[in-house]
Amino acid sequence: MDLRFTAEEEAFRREVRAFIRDNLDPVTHRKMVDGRVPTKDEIVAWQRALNRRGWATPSWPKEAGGPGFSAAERYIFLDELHQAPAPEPLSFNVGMIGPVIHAFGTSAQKERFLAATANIDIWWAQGFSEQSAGSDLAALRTTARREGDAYVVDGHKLWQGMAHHADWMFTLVRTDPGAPKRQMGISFLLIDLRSPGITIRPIVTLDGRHEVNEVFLDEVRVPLDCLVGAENAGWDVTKFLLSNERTGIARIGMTKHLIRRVKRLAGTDEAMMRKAAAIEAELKILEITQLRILDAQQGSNTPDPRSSVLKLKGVELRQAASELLLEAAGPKALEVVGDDEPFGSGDDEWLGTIMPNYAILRAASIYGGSSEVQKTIVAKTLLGLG
Amino acid sequence: MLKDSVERLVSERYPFEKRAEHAAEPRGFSEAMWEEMAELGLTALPFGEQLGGLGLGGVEMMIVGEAVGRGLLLEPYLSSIVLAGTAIAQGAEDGEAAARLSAIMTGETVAALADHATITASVVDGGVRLDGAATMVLGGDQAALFVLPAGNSGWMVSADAPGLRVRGYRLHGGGGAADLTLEGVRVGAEAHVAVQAMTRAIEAGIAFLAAEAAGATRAALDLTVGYLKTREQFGKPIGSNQALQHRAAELLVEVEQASSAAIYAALLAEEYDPAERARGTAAVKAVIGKVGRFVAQQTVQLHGGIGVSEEHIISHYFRRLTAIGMLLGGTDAQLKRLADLGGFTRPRAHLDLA
Repeated sequence: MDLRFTAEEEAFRREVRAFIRDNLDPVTHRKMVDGRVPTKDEIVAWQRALNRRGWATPSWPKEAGGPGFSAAERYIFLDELHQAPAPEPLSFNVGMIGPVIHAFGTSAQKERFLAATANIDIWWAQGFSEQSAGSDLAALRTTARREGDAYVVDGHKLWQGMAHHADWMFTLVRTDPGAPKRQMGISFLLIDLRSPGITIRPIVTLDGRHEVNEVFLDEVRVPLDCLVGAENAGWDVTKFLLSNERTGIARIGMTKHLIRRVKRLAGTDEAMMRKAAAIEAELKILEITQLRILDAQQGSNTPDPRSSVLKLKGVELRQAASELLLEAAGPKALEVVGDDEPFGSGDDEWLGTIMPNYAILRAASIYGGSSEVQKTIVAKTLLGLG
Repeated sequence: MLKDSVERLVSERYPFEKRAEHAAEPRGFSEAMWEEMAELGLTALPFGEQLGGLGLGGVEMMIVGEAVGRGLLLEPYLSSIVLAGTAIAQGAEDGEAAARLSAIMTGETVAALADHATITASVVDGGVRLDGAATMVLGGDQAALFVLPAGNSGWMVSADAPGLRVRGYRLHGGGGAADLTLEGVRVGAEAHVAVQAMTRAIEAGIAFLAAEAAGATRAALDLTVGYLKTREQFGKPIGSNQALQHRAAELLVEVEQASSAAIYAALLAEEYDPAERARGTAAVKAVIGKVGRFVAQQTVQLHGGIGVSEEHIISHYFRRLTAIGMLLGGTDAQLKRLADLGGFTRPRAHLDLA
């Protein structure tokens, strides 16, 4: 097994880095360095720059317009974005709904949505979670009943990331409340957020930001051609969507950026540098695990069950680095500073985002499958327990 | 295939039930096993073909190390072949190296290298005079030949050299070591070992310990998962309790890290840049120490009472993993070293890099 990158792959890495350097808007870059959240326009502009280069959809098959990256190239590409730091391609569009429409959509749906999704002509939100349906997604209660040429949707979705920016929402709804198993009565619908009956309300999170929302659906009419896959077969689509996170899940590059900031802030403090070394050592070894998984994946499309292992350790280290950054900043980080405060002068490390980002990063071990759920999955599928 | 033959050797010759017998032999290990390892060519694995070895590399050494770790072998492979052998092969004059290695490869001579010593070397006619002490010399209790650091060099010293006193002892977890004192020990110039080779030897030793830890942690986890599935309490296997499932999952995450550390160490053997090797080795050893301690503690915990009995193999993995973490530099020392070397990430902006 050779885990080292080839000369061509190293050249690709430099190409990606040069592209970012030359094409990422400096204001957007500065925001990412400081840990601020770019605006909707900034995210869209960057995605469109990537799209012009053919790189907006790194994980999509070539038939769907993807660049045809190898697993290694996809990893390198995302790693360079994470380390730059630059925004990833919009996850709802590129990581979630795009591959779903390619795999399960009708040709009309593919034509209508795929290119627009890659270019963020349509910004998508994910309508999965509800009050009673978090880890237990199959417990969802939003209903859809067929009435003539439409589904009529009623319900309440929670934790919709960036739904306030979104044009459309892909949603799980219950079309057969009487089905013998809960998973068997679920359908996957695409909903235009301009439809009458939709109310989006902000949820402020503990970082003081408005990133997530609740979405109320009151007798919303959704055309039948917005159904993806067969009626009541939405759970299979969901499993496909949730399994799609393969490379880049450990987001090792993001943790490296946090360590960079720690070193800039506390580079002469021996105790702090010892703690940074502890994270770096484990991160270096995690990178090897990532490369082993990539190496095993070559040419295959099935997600590696060890991805859970990567996610668990990756999140642990990212949270540890974020915590260390908070310690490195010290009590000054407790001063409340808005995200729209002007940039600091040149070399000074921006402290204003450190506490909010540390706080909201606690969610990394909660969303996308909580660490506890991941452990149960690991125990069951990898160790045969339970 | 190397992996198959080594694994077969260990499973046939070294079932756990026989281990206590092997430990009770005069030298503290199985003479028959040591001979067999030589016969299979394992003791010649890492040495260049021009020195009479098999000229194999980091991955092959990792395969042997994993088997040694899994089997809890007592034979002085790490100390004689990996530590002392690497130093001599890479750092002694060619003729001298070949001569010394010949007996090391047959297993006839057991050699040992000190990584923890304060010894001065004063130049005298035709060589040097060595004075000082070394502690925790792995395999030193049975060694006929020592490789000792002094000043900016290494020196080969015979165990029967006048002025050398050796106090041997057993180690928890298996094997033995020795403390040495040197008073006016004289060696000739031909006994010189280049200092870079001493560094490479320690790096090779750490890589081998990483492989041992990868094998041992995986074996401990496998046994523990098996136990969770079969041990019943309250009318069901204890593995049906979520707390234990989660603990097992956490163990798997760490065991995968141990495997990756061993693989990374194997790759580092071919790394040209000494700074990269130094950083990487420090990271490997730091992680192995932390992982080994966690796996040792938790696999005992999950076995309940039998986990602390001498009779059960899991308590032996506990001791050996604990020892591995502390030999050749423990986690704290390695992290200090990694920090002093600047770690892997520079503070400079990533996009500023070419």
